[in-house]
Amino acid sequence: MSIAVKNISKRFDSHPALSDVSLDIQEGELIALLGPSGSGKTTLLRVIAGLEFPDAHDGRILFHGRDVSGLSAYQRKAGFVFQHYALFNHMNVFENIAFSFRVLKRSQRPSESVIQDRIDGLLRAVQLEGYEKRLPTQLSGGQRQRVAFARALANKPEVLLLDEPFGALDAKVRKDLRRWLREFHDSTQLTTIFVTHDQDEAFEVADRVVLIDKGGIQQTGTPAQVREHPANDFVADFLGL
Amino acid sequence: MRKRHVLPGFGLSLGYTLVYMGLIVLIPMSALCLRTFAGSWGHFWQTITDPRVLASFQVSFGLSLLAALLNGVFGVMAAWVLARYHFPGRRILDAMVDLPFALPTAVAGIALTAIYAPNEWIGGLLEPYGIRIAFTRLGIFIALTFIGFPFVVRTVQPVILQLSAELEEAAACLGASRWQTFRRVIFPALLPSILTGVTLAYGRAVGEFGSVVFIAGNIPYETEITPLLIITKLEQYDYPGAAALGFLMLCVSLVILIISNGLQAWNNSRNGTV
Repeated sequence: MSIAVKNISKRFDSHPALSDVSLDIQEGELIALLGPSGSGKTTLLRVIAGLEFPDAHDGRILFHGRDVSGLSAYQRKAGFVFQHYALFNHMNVFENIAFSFRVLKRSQRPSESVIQDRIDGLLRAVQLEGYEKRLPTQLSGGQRQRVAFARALANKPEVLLLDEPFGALDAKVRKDLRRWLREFHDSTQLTTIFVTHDQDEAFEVADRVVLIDKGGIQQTGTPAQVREHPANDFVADFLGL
Repeated sequence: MRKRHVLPGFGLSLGYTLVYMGLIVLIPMSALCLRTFAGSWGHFWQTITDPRVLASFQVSFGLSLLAALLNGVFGVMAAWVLARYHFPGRRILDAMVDLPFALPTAVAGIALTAIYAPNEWIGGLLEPYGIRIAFTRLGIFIALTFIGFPFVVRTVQPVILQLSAELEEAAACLGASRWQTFRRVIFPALLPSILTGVTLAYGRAVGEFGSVVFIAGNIPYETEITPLLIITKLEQYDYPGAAALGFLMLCVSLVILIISNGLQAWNNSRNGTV
C-alpha cells in the first residue's frame, strides 16, 4: 500500500515535534526513518500509525490515496511493532499472536482450526515453532521481538510499522533480525517503515532512507544517494562523512 | 573455608537481626503457643467451640471478607483514578487514602460512631427507613471497609503506574475496544496485585479492634468480634481461654501471610521482575 504524508505538524506542549512534514512512500517499499533521538522520527511513525494525531491544520495521511487521517490504528490496517515488544505477559506466545482474532466479534472470528493454521504459519515465518506454550518472560529479547512481529502480522496488515524494532537487542541478535526482516520483506513485499538511530541498520536494510532532524525531513534517498550526495551539513555530520 | 563477602559485617548484622527478631517477634509468639497448650486440650477445644466464640468468628472472618471484597472493587477504582488522571486536588485525595493507616484506630471508631449513630447525621437520615448502622453488623462492615481501603489502593496503584502505555496501544492496534483492552490486557496484569491487596486488607480487618468496638455495640452472638472476646476473657482472668483464641487468630494470620506471599511470588514470576 502506498502512503502519502502531507504537511503534517505536531506539537507536544510548546515543543514542536514535527513541522510541516511531507513524504511519499511507494507500495512495497522498505523505508528507514533515520535520525538522532528527539528528532521526531518516532512521532512521524506514530502519526502514520494513528497512535498520535497531528495538529489540526491541513495535514493529511493518505493510504492508497484514501484519507485515513481520522481513522484509528486498527482501521488503518497497520501492524505496529514496539521497541519494548509490548507483549501481554500473562498470555502465552500462541495467545499473544491470536489476540487480534480473540477480540473479533463471534460472527467475524475465524474458526479455531483456521486460527491454529494461521498461527502455525506465523510461528514458522518468525522461526519460533514449538514455542506456542511459552510465556513471554521465558523468552530472550530476540524471541520476544519475533513474537511481536508475528502478532502484528496476524491480521494481515497492509503496512508494517516498526519503532526501533532492534533497539533493545544485543549486536548479534540485531544483525540476524535485520537480515530476517530484509528477507521477509523481499518475500512478502509488504510496505514497511522502520525507525532507527543506527545508520548501519538503515543502510543495510532499507530501500530508501529518510533522514530526520529537528522535526523536519533533511534528505530522502537510496542509501547510495544519501551517502554520495548529503543534502546538508546535518546529514554529512550525522553520517560522519 | 570461610566464604569472603564483598560487604563487611555480615556476621555481626545477621546476629543482631536474629536477636532482634527473636526478642520482638518469636519469643512472644512462642509464649502464646506455650500458654495455649499449657491448659488441657479439652479446655482449648471447649473454648474455641463455644457458641459465642463461633458467632464471633462468623462476625470477624465473615465481615472482614466482605469488607475486603468491597475494597477490592472500589480500591482498584480509586487506585486507577489516582494513577491515571490528573485533576485539581489529586494530591490531596492521594494523601487522604492513607488516613485510615495513619489515624489511631480508636479515633476512627469514634468518628464513625459519631456519624452513624441513630441520632447523628447519616444514622439519623437512615433511621426512619429502618436502616440501622451503628451497633449492628453493618456498622462493623463499614469500619472494616474503612481501615482496609488503603491496603488495596497502595498495592494496586504502583502496578497501574508501571503498566506501559504501549500495552494499551498494542491492544488497540490489534483491534481491541477500550473494554476489551481493560478486560483482556489491563485487568489480568493487575489481578495479582488486586488479590494481594485484598488479602492484606482481609488480614488487617480480621485483627482490627479499636475502630470496631465503638460502632459494634458488642452484643454477644450479634456484633461481638473475636479480638474483643480475647479482652473479655483476659478481664475474667481466663488466660488459657484468651490464649486459645489468640493462637487461633495467629494461625489465621499466618495462613493469610502465606497466601499473600504466594500471590506476590506469582505476580513477580508473571511480570518478569524478581
